Amino acid sequence: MRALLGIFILILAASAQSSGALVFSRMHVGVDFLLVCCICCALLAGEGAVLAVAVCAGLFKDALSSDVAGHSVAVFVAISLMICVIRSRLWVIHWSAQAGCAFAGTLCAWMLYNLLAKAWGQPLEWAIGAVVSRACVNACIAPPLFRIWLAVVR
Amino acid sequence: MRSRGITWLIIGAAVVSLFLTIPPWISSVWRVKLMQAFSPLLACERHVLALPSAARTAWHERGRLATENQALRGKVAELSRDLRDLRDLKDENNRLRSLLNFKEKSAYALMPAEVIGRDTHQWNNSILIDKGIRDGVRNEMVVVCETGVVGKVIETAPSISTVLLLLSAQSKLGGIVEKTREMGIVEGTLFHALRLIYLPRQAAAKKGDRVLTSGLGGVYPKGLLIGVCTGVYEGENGLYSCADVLPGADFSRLEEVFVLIPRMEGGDITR
Repeated sequence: MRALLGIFILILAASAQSSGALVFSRMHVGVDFLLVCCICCALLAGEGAVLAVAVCAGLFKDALSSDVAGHSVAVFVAISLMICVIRSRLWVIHWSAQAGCAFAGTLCAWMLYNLLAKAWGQPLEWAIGAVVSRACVNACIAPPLFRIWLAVVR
Repeated sequence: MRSRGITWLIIGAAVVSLFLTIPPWISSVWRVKLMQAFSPLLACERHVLALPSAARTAWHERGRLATENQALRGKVAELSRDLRDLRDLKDENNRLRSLLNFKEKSAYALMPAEVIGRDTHQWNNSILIDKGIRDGVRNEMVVVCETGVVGKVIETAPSISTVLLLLSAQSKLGGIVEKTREMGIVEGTLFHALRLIYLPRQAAAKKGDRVLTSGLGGVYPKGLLIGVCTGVYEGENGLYSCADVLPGADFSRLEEVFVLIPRMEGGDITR
């Protein structure tokens, strides 16, 4: 039941990210609901569940983008497991830890995407301003999304 | 505890390498299936997102709309009469064309499609439209809007397709400056501008000149508007000139687009 609920949230996040993009782009902000979902889940759940969520979120993101398939899965799995490793040192229930992880996770994701793009001979994304603003927005949405994932995991 | 963490890291690394080494034909299959599964939800969300602005517009303009409605009714009656006349003329034109054995002027039919989503990673990379294989959309078909070229179809599912936008850094097409007939390659920059590269060193193109598709490459038909030159400058090493091009299509407000469906001999649309 919890797994189904988790997948449902990921589907909602993916479709909101795709269909809401026009609204967000008019507001000149970027957001990555799926990445924040992975980060929130990584702060809460066991490693197996985190891995499953990261793979599902990556597949959904790759399906709705024109990037090389598999890149988002790789990035999400790497970031989720990194957070799993360090979460014992964090006070995960505090909003600042959630926001901080989302901010740092977005920057790490950007670096990993660029590394993969370089390896695959794809064009790199150098607009650091846009990445920082996306990281800020992701940090803002992380605490409410964390509450949702907390309800699911419990 | 430590060994458990390492185990999971190894499993994670295995999963990552598995997904990075999937052959493209397999990834294409699941991608199309997932795209198709998402299509009803995307269409539904798009309508939900449009509701607040529609309600706001209706509330603010209810008085003006009543008078405008009355005026438009008169206009509709007038236009219906004109339309009847034009239909008669069209029939006559078709009869005369068939007598002269003329072929259909346009080699393409325009299929309207709604934008139901954008790229989840880079918003200016691609869009999702609500037409797919069932509607006759195929890979490499060109997508336009009223103001210019939008891009080309790169992935199709039964009722949804992905369109690579001109703005994408992966997008490249042949362009020609309308006035000077100088040719180059138009490439995306991921921002709201394009770049026309490999123009001759002493290019005569200047600000305000229109840039059209050159028809070279075989994907984009010749003569479609790409955008307007906003400045010409020397390219790398001074070997060629470049021009910044403001796209004709407003990519931040794309809601409806048209897919160019090639007609078969005899004017039928290919399926």
